[in-house]
This record gives sequence, structure tokens and C-alpha cells, in this order.
Amino acid sequence: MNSYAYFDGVLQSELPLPELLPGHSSQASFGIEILFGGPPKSLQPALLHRWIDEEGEVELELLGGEDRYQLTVPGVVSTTMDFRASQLMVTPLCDDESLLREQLIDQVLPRIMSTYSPLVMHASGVTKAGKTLAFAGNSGAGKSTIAAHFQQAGWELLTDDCLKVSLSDNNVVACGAYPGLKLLPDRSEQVNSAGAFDSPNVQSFSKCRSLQASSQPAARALSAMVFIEPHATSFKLEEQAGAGVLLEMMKQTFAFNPSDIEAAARRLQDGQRLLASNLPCLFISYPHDYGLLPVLAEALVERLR
Amino acid sequence: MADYDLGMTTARHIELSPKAICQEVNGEMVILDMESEQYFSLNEVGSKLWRLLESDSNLSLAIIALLDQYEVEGEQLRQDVERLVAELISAGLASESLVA
Repeated sequence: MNSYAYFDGVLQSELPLPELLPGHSSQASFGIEILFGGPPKSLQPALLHRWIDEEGEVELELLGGEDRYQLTVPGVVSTTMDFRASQLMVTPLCDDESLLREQLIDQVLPRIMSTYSPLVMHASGVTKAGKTLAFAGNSGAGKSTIAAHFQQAGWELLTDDCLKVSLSDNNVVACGAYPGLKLLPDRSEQVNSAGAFDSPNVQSFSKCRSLQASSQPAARALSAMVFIEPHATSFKLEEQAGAGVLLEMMKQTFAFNPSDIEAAARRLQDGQRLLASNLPCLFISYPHDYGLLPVLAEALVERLR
Repeated sequence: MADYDLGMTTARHIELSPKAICQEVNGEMVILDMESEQYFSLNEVGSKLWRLLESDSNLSLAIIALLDQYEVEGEQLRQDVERLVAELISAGLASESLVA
């Protein structure tokens, strides 16, 4: 078994996951065992939920049996687990191991994590000198690009895609899934112009590239949640509060079973508690003009002062 | 209680969807429709209307209760409420019935 850090827990995995850092179970807040290669356990074919992408293709589906769930990325990987999600059986449905690991780490495991903690968000995160920023937004909104820019500016990357947010002693804390960075090829070239990825840790990961930092995931006090508005034509930065913020927060939250009404209510309640703790919530829009990133970063840092 | 003519002999009842779950935040409200998996938000007045309809589906009584809380012309409020109710029904968050 290999041991990997994932959020503030540990994965014990038969499947090597080189994108993740080594983990230590003594400091873990949870543990998940990943078995690999066996056939999926047979289930009563009860479809609980199906995720459909913009092209109308099934990107993920959840089946529920008498004592277990099955979460499947069609043609890539099938994951069968008990109801506590403490042990997974990962069954490959393709020969592309890199794609399998990517889908397991970035699609399947975040949803499983949401059974442990209600607010697992589609967000990147960076930290520096006691300040931690989260950037939430849809795929392609620019979460990774902004995180990459902050990393170039000396901030530590917590995650580029998946952040667990919770309350601890009335403070909002955030913990990244793993400190990897993936950029679409065009954005990688743009952000890379300053040589940020001249690192021995750069790894090939599907069509993207991944950069691993050296630190293990840990919870950090969150200074602000930043929502990236899509399709921007002009630069804007403003603080908001109220239902609009909670609505955006919920849109960017992973759900293991979106049909589970009790889990949905818990997510809403936790989101409301976060906002009640006076967490600053900012909305930014910027055209994908990379020359504007320094202006954006400077404006955000100024807001934190 | 505000002086407001209900103007009808049948009561309009607005039943909120049992598949909708809501959460108040700063007096406003976020609603998740489990049927469509869509999120919606309501402003302060809309949030109060939702709470009123939760406790009693009679629309006229809800309008009267709102008139007690806001300094606004009855006809203006009625129009605003009608518009919001139509949006709730259109979004699948509510349905309407008439009770004699």
C-alpha cells in the first residue's frame, strides 16, 4: 500500500498516485483505503444521479445498492464503496492510467470527500504570510490561472481545483486537496512566460501539466473567498453579501449525491454559517487578458490589508 | 391590520414545492429545487412571502401580512407579489389552487 496526503487526511492506495504527496496517517483527520483492479461489486441497478456535461454526455453517474455505492466515469473508471466511503474498489475501464488517475483524484474523490465534510468547493487556494485566498468558479473561469499567478508572486499553492472549507472556533478554515497545478495548454504558455514552471517537479498529467509544491495539505484560516464571474468583458472587483453569495457558494460545491435532500440542507446551513462568520466574499471579473493578472492580484492584496 | 380588499370569493392557495429547500441569509433566501437541481435567491420581501406561504398557503392572507410590515400601496404590493408568484410557479417552486 502507498500512503498519500489528500486534504488533511490520508489515502492508503494500491494504485500509485504520483500526483499526490506522501501522507502520514498519524496526523490524518480521516483515512480512505483504495483497492485497485478488482471487478466492481454487483449492485442492484438503482441510478441515484447522473451528471451531464454541456455536450449532453454523461460525465459521471452514481448507483446505489443495498449496502454500497458505485461512482463511475463512463469509459474511464468505476469506484465501488461502502456507505461510509472508507474503502474504495477502483476498477479501470480504460488503458490510459494518467486519465484514470486524473478522473479519480479530481472528479471521484472530491465527491467522496463531500460525505466527510459538507463544503468541498470547486476552488483554488493560495497562502502567504498568514493570508489565504480561495478562488471559486466554473471550469475554465480562471481559478488555476490566477492561482498560478499568485504562485509566481511567491504565494504557496494549496490546490488549483478543490478546497474543503469549514468553521473552526468560529473561524473559516480552508484545506486544499493537494498542491497540484493544471493549466490548459494555452494558459500554461501564457503564465509560463515568466518561467514559473522551470521546476524539477513538473509532471505530465493528461493534456495538462502539474506542478507539485513541497508542503503537505493543512487547514489555513481563510482571509477571503473570491468568486470568478465567467465571460467578463471588463475588470471589476466588488464585495458582496447575502443570498447572492450563498447561491454562488452552493453552485461551486461538490455533492456526492445531489438527490440527497438532507445533505443538501446541511450544505446550505454550513454555507450560511460561513457567511455569518463575516468571511469577506469578493466577486471579480476580468477578461482573460493575462496582462491584467498583476492588477487583479494587487487589488485583491490591497483589499486584504 | 391593513385595510385591503381581498376582492374575491374564492381563495387562491399557493403550495410551495416539497422538493424545495431553503436557507435564509441576512434576511434574504436561497432556495434549492431538488427536482431541477437549480438554485434561486429571493430578496427580503420575497423571503418573507415564502415564509408566510410556508405557514399558510392562502395568498390573500400573505399579502395582508406583508402590507402590515411594509409601507406600500396595496395595489403595488399585490402586483409585485403576483409577479413573484408567477415566477415561483414558472420555476416549479410552487403551484396554485383555488379553494371556494
